[in-house]
Amino acid sequence: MKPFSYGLLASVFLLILGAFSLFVGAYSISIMDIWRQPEVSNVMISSRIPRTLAVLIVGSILGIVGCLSQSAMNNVFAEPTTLGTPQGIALGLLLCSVLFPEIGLLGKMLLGAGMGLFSLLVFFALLQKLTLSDPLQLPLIGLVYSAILGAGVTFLAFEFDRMQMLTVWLNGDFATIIQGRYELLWGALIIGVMAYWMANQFSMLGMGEDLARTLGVPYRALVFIALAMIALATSLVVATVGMISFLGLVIPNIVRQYCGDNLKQSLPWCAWMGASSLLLCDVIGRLLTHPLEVPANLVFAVFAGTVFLVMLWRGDRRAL
Amino acid sequence: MHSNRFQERVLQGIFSVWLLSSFLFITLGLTPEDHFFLMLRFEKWLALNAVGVAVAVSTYVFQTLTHSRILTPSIMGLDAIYLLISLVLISAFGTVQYLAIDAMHLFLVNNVVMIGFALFIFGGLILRFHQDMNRLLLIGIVLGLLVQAANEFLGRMISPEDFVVFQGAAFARFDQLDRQVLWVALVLLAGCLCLLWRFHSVLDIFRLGRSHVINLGIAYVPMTCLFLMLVAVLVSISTALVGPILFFGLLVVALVQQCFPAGHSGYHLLMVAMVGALILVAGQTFFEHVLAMKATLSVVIEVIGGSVFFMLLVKRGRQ
Repeated sequence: MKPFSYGLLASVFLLILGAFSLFVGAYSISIMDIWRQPEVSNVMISSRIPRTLAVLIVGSILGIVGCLSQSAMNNVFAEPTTLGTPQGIALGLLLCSVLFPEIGLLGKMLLGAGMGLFSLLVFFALLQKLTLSDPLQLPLIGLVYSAILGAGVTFLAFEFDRMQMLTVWLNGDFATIIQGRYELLWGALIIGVMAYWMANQFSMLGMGEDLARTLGVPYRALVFIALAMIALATSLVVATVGMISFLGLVIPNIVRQYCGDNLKQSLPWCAWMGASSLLLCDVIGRLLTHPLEVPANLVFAVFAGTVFLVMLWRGDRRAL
Repeated sequence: MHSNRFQERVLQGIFSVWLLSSFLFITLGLTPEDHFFLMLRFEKWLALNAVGVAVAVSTYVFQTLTHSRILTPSIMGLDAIYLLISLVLISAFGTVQYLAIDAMHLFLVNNVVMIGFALFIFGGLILRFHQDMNRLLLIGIVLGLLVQAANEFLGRMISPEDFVVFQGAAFARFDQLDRQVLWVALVLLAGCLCLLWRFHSVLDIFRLGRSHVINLGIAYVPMTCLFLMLVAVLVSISTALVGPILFFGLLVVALVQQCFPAGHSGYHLLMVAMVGALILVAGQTFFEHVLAMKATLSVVIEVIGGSVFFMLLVKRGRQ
């Protein structure tokens, strides 16, 4: 098959899954009712369509962000969850709600992204000092880094009675998505498109600092741009639906086995696979305890954690 | 290297500080007439000591087995597995039957399953990846995260009534100890410690490394299995009593190893047990009776222990 027909097949699959997602939920809907009953079309427009769109955007953007951070850090285990970014963002959002509760949505977003970027830069600087001998050390140090950051954030949230907000930010759940509450995610999608537009430059980052410099890439500036994009996109996701752990780790690693390291080729597939797997998990979560729900983050974590463990267990050096 | 006399002095010093803080913990703010409260605090004190000793000793043995200063049973996700077992039992039997089972029997069943898990997973993991410590660590951390997610997932699947029962089973705090479980745990703890003491000279050889153990004619696999079983029982004791504490064992053992790198295993075992008990008792006395804060001790331990873990990782990354 040609790449084009692969793409066609993938889009058809995603369309079917998306259409299916529209009809699954606590309120049962049949196709015929949409035109006959106004309240049904209301459910569609205000809840089901925004929710499906939000899942698709979050899945694809996290897949892209994961792939991007792996190139920027030059390590296949790099991902916002293993870099402490969600915790940094949560710290920013928390400080915002405590210190400047009056500030608008945009200011909140910027402060969150700023703190996320700051935590990323601190971690990146630390890595530069260490010269890791084994790629596995990055997620190891990163997970502990995020655990310590997380403990600090939890402590602050506990002190200022913001625990509930914190759990919402760190556990992705699409149940609360309705019209008017997810539109910020379109901003994240724009960042994703920008990442694709700059994909060739970012691919060169993945070859390591020396080779990238030889190829004439402004290494430091480009890494900074990549990290800023990662922080901004992740903070948009964290603030609207909450973090989906390990999506950016598992999906790009699976895609890489088929598409290689060229981001121009692999980024669209990361986006597609992230979107469709997250949508699948969200639909499963809605069906499992119908009419109640299991958050998509939990379903995905169980799935992705298992995949990651199998990868580690097999010890496939080529894949990881 | 410090002389034996000095080491003994230190142990005695720690012992007396522990006695003092124990006395304060039980009696502070009470008169001899308050029998009920004194008894309550005494049981709490017993539990604190049991947890401190169990966590510290299990961590020390585990680190000796894996020849690593960073691995601990809780970082490898062992206490998360304990919670998973109780959750699976609840979802399989349903609350009514689960509550009908004696708390003591439940604890013992959990123990047996834990031993099986520890042997199966960690025995397999350690034998397979003993040269690739980073991979081992990462598998442990991801396993812990996965089990945590699975716990939460199962928690969503069962009914709210069942979930309340699970929370009671999973997070037995010091304030609501099950008396029966406490005594069974103490007996088990004593048994484990006796067995360990009997074999502490073998631990000395394990510190030399795997090849030395085999060279010196010690049955490597059976001894590893025995020690792993002891670790599993110790971890279930501490988890049954207070729930998971991630970095406490690491903190205690790192402290002792840093101060006395050259001691015998027997001395180290005594030392970590004393320091573990001391930190919990003294810390709890300070936070509960002096500062009147309840939840803070565990947070402080986690933050300090986490930072120590981070340092150890970074130090290793530098080498």
